[in-house]
Amino acid sequence: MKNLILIIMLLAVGMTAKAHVGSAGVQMQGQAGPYKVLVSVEPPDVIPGTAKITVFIENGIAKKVLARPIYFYSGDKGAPSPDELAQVAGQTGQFQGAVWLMEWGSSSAQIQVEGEQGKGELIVPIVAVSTAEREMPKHLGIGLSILGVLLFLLMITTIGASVSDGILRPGETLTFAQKRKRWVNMGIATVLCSVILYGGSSWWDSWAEEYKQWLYRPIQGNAAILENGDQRVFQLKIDTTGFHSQRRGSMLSTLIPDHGKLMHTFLVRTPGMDAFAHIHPERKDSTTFEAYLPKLPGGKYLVYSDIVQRSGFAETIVDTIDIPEQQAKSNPLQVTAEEDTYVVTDPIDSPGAVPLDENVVVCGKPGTKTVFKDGSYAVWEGKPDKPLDAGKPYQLTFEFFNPDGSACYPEPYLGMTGHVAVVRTDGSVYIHLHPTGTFAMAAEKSFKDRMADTATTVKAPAPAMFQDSIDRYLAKLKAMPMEEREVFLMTEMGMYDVKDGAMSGMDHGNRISFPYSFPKAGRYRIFLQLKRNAKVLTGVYDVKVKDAVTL
Amino acid sequence: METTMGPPPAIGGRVVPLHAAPDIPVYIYATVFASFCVITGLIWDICWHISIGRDGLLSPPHLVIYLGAVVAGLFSGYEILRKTFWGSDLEKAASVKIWGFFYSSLGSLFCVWGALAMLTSAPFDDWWHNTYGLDVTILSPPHTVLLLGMIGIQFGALISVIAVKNQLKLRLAHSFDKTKFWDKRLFWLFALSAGFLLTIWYTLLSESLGRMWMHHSSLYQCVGAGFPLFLMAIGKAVKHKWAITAATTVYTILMLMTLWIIPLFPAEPKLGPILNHIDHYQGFQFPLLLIIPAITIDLLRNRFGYLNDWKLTLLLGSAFIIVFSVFQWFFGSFLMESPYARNWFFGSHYWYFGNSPDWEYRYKFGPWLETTSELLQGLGIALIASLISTRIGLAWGNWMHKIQR
Repeated sequence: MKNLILIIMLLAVGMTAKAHVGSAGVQMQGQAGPYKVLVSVEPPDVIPGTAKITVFIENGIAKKVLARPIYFYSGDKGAPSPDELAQVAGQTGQFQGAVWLMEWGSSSAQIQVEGEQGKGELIVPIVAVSTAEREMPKHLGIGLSILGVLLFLLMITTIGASVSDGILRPGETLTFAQKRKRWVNMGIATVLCSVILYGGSSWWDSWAEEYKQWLYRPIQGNAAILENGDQRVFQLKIDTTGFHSQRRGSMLSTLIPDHGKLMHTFLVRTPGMDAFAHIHPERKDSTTFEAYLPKLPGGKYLVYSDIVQRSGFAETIVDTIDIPEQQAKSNPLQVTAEEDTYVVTDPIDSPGAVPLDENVVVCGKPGTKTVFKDGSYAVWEGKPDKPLDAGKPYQLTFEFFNPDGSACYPEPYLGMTGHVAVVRTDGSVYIHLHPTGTFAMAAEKSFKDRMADTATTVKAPAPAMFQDSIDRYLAKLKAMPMEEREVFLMTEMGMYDVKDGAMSGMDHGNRISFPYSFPKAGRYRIFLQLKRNAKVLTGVYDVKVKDAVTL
Repeated sequence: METTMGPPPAIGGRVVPLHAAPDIPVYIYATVFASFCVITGLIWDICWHISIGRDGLLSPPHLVIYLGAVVAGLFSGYEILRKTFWGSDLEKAASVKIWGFFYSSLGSLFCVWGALAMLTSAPFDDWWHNTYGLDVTILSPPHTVLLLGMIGIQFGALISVIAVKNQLKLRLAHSFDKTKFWDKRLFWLFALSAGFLLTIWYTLLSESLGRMWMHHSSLYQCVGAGFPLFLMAIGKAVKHKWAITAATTVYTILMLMTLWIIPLFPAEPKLGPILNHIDHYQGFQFPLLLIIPAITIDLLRNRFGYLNDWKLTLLLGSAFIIVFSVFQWFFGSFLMESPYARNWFFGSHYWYFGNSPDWEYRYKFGPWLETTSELLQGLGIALIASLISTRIGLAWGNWMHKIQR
């Protein structure tokens, strides 16, 4: 028999209804003290609600795992005591439970691990928003209707009895006048109960309307290409229509940089997904962001722009754009950020058909070797052509080699060892991943800072001043030489130990893992970005994902 | 000695004396107990929400409420089936006939309706939470269905007791002393069931009856419109000098007992934001001083019982609201502002965990309350509301007094 919940139809969950396009879940890999853990969170699609949380202990022996929700607004001091997660039967080192998210907006789950190696903790940022609109399942509706009709009839009958035989002494029978009185009263009761039911249904309708106002509405942006001489400029204007009624107010003034950049924009040519760029538009004014375009071929592109608010609330702005061909090629093109990069590869439906140029790679599959333009290569651990299961947490693991086959240690790129962008062929799923997981690093930092702050409730910063301080910080960062900037960013994220002069927050080898769970079946393209010899390299892989278990 | 008799004559207009009828039926005790479970479960649930915050379908207070529903539903349902299929002709003659087939007492019908409504609310509520979010509002549509069901059960208990009490006059087999004994016992069952119903009615209105509103006319309008309706009906339903006082005493004792007992148990908030950290249950509210106007109107209706209902309305309706307003106003000042009210006895120090304990109006009336002229105007409306409520209550009480089955 089918599960009731599966029959509940999701009406309005379109491709842009989630903060992370199509990927509501959070996968995070990190250190909880001495324990290396992978945390998988399925947030509720209705707030208030419960997020399902699974913790995999990857090394060490944990005896007890606790979790509690921390809201940005009320911080550590205003959070409830933790609940113990239950050990999953038959799975060593796997714990499962729920955290209650009562507040709309930026939340987090604090995971505490206790075991033989002592104690450790970890904070997982969660974006808590309502995205689902449901219809009542048919048989529940029928069942409730039958009960409703029964209650209606029984109430009218009871009222009829109350004024007729209910007030007769035992043995007395109803006179004609009393019988008439009963019918009259039952008539009045019918009208009254109908009015009450009508009132109830109007009340319910108004409730549903009210709820709709609180459904998450993704930020809308309008992407455009400006011609600046022979250089193309990508521009994103954020549409603030309705910000006031949605209580978004001055949220654009509270944006914070996520590993050094205020906005990360990914451009993917559609439908072949054969051209890809990762650029970093800069803020021109509160609503306008611009970046020089690299030498992308012309065509229609999907646009995904990630931003993070001070509260840790991370969102993706989605649009499509037509990019015209580059007109003149004589001058070297300007770049907005040294880290801006692009790649051209073969279209997803015609492998191998790719014109060779300076920035071209051939698409790979799990288990195959993908050679970068400088001769180094990466291999995705996994069996080629073996589809992955939707909804199952995976470690997408890549190994990086020098052209001679020796292990290659990636250089930090925006404070991370690597970046991955996952895009479904129809554009309905997009996510920007890091070896630590699917969340914005800035959100995690925000929460750590918030927890260090002992104030019970957080005060909103002055918008103009806050925006100005962020702009100054970004200008300072941009002026730094690349190496210094990387060390600065990693230190800031707590991943670089100045004492040792090495990255401490994650394993630093030539093997890089990205935790992720594909939300639904389909074909996906994975863009892997690594840095070697101060150059960003992009590798492309295809994967098929099938529905996990069919009931 | 047992007396046997033939089937009752099927001729209209004749009364069948209840020879050898059993004493107070067990289901009467059961429904009054169910009514008690429903209201104490509800108050506990409110304390749970203001102290712990989150709950599940099978939280202890919910179980107490469900116990009430199950006891009321099973005993009343069984009574209906027993009377319909195995009932004697005498029992059938003392029942109401439903849909041309079932025989029941009026009280059992209300109880069954209430239990059915509570049953309906459960899947409805579950779906509601999946659709619009977990419990944040007391009065959502499914909660309203649940509350109507609870009120149905409590009203059913009251009606059942009244019917048996009214039938007592027909029980010829008992001696005078025995009748008097049963009458007394039935009066206490009546006072209990009326008090429990009054408490749930208070609970429903309680959001408008907080300490802060005791210096605002809205509280007096709410009380004026909401309570005489019920209290006057109680006074008319049975013949007893202290009927209204007894019901309000039950209300007062129940409220005080829960206020004093529930906070003895440990509880901690499990939902953020937690601005007021606590380690024991927070109590519900100190009862309204309804008992004082109740004594007044009991005295007045004993002294002026010969007046017709319209004159009684004018007398009792205005006496109720005036006496209540005077006492509650000054008692409100004490509860809100006096440090002597901030203890387990009066419970003014209890505070919701999501509210800041440093709020500047925690222990004083807000300056946003109304001006004197607005207050006087508002109290005028409260008086009119009290008169209308009183008149409806008297009519309702006349009906309850007539209930026989």
